[in-house]
Amino acid sequence: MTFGKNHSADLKEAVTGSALAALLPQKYPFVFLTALTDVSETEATSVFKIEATQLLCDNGNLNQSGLIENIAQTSAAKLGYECNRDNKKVPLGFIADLKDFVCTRLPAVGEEITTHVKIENKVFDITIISGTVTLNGEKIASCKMKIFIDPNEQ
Amino acid sequence: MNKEEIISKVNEFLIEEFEVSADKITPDAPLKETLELDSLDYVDLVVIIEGNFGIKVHQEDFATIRTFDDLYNYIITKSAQTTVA
Repeated sequence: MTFGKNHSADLKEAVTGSALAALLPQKYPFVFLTALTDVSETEATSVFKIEATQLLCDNGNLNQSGLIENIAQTSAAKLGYECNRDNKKVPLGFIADLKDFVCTRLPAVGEEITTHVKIENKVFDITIISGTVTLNGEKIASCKMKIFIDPNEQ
Repeated sequence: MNKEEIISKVNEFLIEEFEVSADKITPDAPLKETLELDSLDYVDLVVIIEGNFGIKVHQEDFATIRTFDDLYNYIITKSAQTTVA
């Protein structure tokens, strides 16, 4: 499997497996990323191949909660990557608010989605992101999210 | 931008974002209760203030902002500081 070919200067190669797990506070089986493929100061991209054993699957499709978690974990992986790079502890983040969620299609088991998040703003302990999920180049979901980063964990 | 213009602009975005009727916005009215703000609404409020006035809002500043007039004065003061800086 190959992942994003256009990595930013900040990320030399896609982060997968145990290296990816180290970036996330979530643990298997509650992980909804296969690779972190790109990170920049304000953006990150991940890919996620949906396995048959995946949690949050209904009738052979990743459900909407799975898509939302995938977007949040892409943002978490970005933060985890930066903390790892700066020798800081990876903090816990919590979805505080979800806005403008649109989903036009649920990805099926065996399909691979690409998720792009952009940091729109940071206010106090809240990071505001926008996230977009694509499948074979087609946008299938998007939302805005407020993520609370626990300051005591940083 | 003078004080009246700032007040007008603030009221305009508060009415739009928080769906409050204009007649409820008076200088002495309590901000939190009138706009029915929860902690996440404060985040939206900060985003709007920072985006519209180019100022940086600090969490501790909100401790002193209780009424609409407090908010207007805060924005006026911070805007003036930003302009000077």
